Amino acid sequence: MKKNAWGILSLMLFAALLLATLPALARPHFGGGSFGRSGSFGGGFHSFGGGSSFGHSSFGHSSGGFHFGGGSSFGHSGSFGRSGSFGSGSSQSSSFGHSGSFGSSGFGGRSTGAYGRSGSFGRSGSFGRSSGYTHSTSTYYIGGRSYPAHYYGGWGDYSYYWGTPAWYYYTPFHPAFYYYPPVMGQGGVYYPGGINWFHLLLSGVLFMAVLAVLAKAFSSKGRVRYRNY
Amino acid sequence: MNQVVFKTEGDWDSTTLTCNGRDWPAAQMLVQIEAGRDEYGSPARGGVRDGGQMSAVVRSQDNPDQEQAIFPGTLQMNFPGHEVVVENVHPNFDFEFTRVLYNQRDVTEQIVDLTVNIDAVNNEVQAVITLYRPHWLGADEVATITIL
Repeated sequence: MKKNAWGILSLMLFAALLLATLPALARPHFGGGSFGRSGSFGGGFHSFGGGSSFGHSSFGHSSGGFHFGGGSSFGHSGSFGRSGSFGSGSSQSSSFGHSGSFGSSGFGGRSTGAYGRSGSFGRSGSFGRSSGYTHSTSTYYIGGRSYPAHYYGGWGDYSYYWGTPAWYYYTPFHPAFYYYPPVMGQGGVYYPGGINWFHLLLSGVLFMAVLAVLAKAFSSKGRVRYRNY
Repeated sequence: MNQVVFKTEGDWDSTTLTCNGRDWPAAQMLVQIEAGRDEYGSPARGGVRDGGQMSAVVRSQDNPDQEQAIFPGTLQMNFPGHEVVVENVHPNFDFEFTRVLYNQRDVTEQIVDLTVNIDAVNNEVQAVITLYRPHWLGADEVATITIL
């Protein structure tokens, strides 16, 4: 019996790992720079100034955006690295761009910084992010064209994954499965599509059925319980 | 075809046996069904479909040494809180044509054992039914229900 229980536990663990890894693999579609493109080190997928390594702004969201709640995304006041690197976690100034140090391009809103940019380690959305709500306007690529799009942070931004869907977005193992494709609003700006409740329900039923079959297969095959009434 | 009805409320005074509507003064009624087993003799799903054997006899008070067959026909047994119906109307009393109902539920394909022994001479009563209950989740169950 213990052996069967371990079997079920292993399967559940495997399923959990699958759920955890697939989204992580998919995340590089948005934003990010070279190092640990967004998502690699726990970042959200709309990193501002998602820079590359030395002074080049790479692809992603290079347009100006704004954060609520003051993460450690921009406004670096230190020379090397962020000002929050050594014990000054809450001293992020709210200026756009990098205020000094290496690699800062000096162009107002463009994050072309190198060292200490917000996209390296510990940028907004990495460990210990203090902001609960983030809104940004960025670029959404679909059909080879780019459109302005609103990103609100959180799971809802998975809606934008449907711009270039991969096959596994159609499976319940990927978060994009639970969101509708983005919709175009006024002025040609895209908004997240919202939760696909039908898919959510469907996958719930599916997972329950799979779990039931697995439990049946691993817990009772060849076993009979005797009871007296 | 016999229509045999056995009724009891749990004591000898309330116990009756009738055959085709007439009293059947009996010293003993013995019903034994054995079914629902795999090739190793262990309980398995399938019930009567797996094959088996059955005996159902009554020894009358007039001549206790002679066994009288109940089947082919229908045997209805009413116990306090339980009802068992065994039916086999096949002329040759082929086992595969046996139907078993327990509390109005067809358990033909779940029956493993049924033993009913009402022995007035030796003052012995026993009624036990064993059913194989397959479950979707968890292990299958072999339920032994003591009726009397």
